[in-house]
Amino acid sequence: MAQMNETPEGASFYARTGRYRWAIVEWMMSTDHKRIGVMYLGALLSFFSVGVVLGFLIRLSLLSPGWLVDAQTYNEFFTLHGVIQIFLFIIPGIPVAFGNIFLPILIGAQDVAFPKINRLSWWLYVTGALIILLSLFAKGSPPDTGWTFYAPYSIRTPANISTAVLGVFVLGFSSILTGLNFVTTIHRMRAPGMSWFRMPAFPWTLYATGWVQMLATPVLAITLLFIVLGRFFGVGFFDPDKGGDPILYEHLFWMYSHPAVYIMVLPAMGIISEIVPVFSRRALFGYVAVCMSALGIAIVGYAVWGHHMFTSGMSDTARVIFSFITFLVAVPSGVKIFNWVATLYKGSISLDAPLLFACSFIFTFSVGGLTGLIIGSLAPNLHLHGTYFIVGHFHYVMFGGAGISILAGLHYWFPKITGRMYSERYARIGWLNFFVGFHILYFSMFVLGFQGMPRRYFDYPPQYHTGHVVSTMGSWFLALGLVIIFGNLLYSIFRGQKAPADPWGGKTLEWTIPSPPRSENFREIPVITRGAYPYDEEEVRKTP
Amino acid sequence: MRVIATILCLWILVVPTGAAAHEELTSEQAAAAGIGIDEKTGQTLPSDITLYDENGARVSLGDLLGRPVILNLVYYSCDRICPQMLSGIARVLPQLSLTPDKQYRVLTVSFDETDTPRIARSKKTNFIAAVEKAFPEEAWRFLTGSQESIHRLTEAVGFKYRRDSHGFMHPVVLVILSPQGKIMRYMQVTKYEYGQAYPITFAPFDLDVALTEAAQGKAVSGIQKAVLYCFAHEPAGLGKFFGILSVVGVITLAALAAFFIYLKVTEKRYRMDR
Repeated sequence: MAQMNETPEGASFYARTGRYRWAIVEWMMSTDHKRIGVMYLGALLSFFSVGVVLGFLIRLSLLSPGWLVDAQTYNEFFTLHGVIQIFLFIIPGIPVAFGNIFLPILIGAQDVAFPKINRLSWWLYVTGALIILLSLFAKGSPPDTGWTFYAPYSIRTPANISTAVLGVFVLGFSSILTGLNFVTTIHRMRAPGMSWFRMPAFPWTLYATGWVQMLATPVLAITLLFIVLGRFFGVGFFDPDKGGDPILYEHLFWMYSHPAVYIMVLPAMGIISEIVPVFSRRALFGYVAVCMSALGIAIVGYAVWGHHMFTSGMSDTARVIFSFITFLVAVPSGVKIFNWVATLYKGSISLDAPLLFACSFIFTFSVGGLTGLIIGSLAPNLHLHGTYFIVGHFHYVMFGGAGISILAGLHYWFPKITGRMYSERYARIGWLNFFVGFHILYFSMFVLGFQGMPRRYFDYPPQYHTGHVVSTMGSWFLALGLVIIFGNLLYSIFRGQKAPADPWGGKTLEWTIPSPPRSENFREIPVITRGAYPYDEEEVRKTP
Repeated sequence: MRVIATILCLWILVVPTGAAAHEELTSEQAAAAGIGIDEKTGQTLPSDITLYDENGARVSLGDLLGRPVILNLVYYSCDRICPQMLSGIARVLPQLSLTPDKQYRVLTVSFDETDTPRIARSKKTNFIAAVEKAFPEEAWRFLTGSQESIHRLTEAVGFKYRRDSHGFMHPVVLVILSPQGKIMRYMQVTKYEYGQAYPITFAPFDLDVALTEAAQGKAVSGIQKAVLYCFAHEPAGLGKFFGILSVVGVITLAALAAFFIYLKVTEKRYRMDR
């Protein structure tokens, strides 16, 4: 704690280079992976806030349907909520923000393999986001199809689907290029001595994610292109009137979108795998199994898309196979859960905010995963498909999984990114509100779904009223928690105490360099002689 | 990526002609496929056709008559129109003003000779349960039969169907029989309401009239032209589409595999430079 980074050796990566007159141009033209990551992070969190506000309004409107927004606006709200949270926040999410900032540092590199392609990805992301925003304000009405853009409605609706779809298309290229960049970086840029199995778990998950991004995203791009062709040229790939098949759209869409779930959640697992060892002062239990299970999830995750379509019309054979593989994919996820818990076991635990969030992830993600098995089995699926149960499950996995891990990562790496500490007290208060609110909000959705409340409906019969009121009240706690969490972080950027290089006692490479890092990550490329989590466990166990 | 894009562009130029063909089963196409209705109003069904009831007991058609009958022909493994038609029947039955079993009966007969009384029994359980009022079991029978009986029955009714790669192609129709087994009229389903809980519905008034007139021996002939068929729909261009998808998929996989090998092979060289 002695080296209070008062006078960092050399300027941090935030310092102006003076190459451009305007700071914004300088940042947009920068190829520094940390700057790109920070810009991504800012953009992601801004979109996240917009998505949260939309979600909040949806819940508010459901208190008493019609008092806040009309049915068409409601459709537009949930579509935008989905499109923003999924395509602009959670899919790019962890890789582009934390991956960009920390992947090169974690493997001991100065930058990613292709810094200019990295900048291109960022530009594409901005372009895609702007195009999607354009679809809201352009002439005509905002998209109202739901984030899945299911055909044939997406071909026929007068709303601005083409614009929105084009935006998602561009975002797809950003995603592919990021994947390509990270995979190449991990293959080529590792520091001397950094063998595959000395790499921390986070780069491992980014590696698995990178392949998924490259292989799955083109399918989405092509599918969305068909939608646009259908709208402009009347090509009826998915239009039964013209000899097409709407179920084909669902297949193609989920062939991307299910692997995309793993794009979102794999790096989330990587973050948790970084946090848990640091705050329990133990090596990651079953390190190799954790890394391999990331690859396992990535591979098996390709072959489960059909479970989104059990009720859409599919042969029984196909359904049984998809259901079986869905159960298989739970195995590597379970491997991870058990290894995190085993890492905590007999560790010297300091329950700081990052670990609080990490443990919430483990709990919430387990609930999400286990409910996933319920809807992955064929018989319950018939009852639960298209109900709030799905919405609950989805939010448990995505928000409770990937979302919470972003909060965990934010609290974990905040000192390194900003060079400041945040208030632990407010972080915990925020966490408590968030955690309680989260479970009230989404657990009631399981109950509502079980009772038969269909998803995406603007209105509902009176018997669902209580459930909806409870759920909406949960959203208030959750929103309050988020306000406290982000208020605390924002305040700390400007007023927080200066952070030391290694506030948590982390052993990975990012904690060996100043907070915030210099433009050049390492003065000298480190030579790695040991694994990623070198904690002296015997000593840890002896200390009370 | 460039390869995929090129193939895609080429293919977009080529395919639409095939994929965009209008797909609808017209009466001519149906006739060409050998399915449809040969109207036989006024003719009497042979009463000695033997069928199996839900318990596997042999019954002759004549035993089941004796009051006006709503006869419908389906196959029990159908996952398209047949169950929806049965749902439509289940929905209309409690709305009829006639007394079930006394004034009319419903006979559902499978024309799939592989259907068994056991399957018929499970169908019966479901569809009787779907009738909103308590409904006497003997008023709605679910029958199966041997190939020969089915052949005789469908010939007599003029019901032309065909086995298909996925099930059967067949018309959707209710046949109203007199208590003596004479065909009094064909009630055709002409409308399919997409997105409704009950896409196929029957007007209770029409059925009441048809059954009452059947009891009085009043036959009404003439079939409307717009007939609803139950058949598997496989768009013409779909096979081609899948072919191209698999080619593109294999190319993508191969490209990524090549990329992986390239990274693996050059990995050492790049890391040595550092």
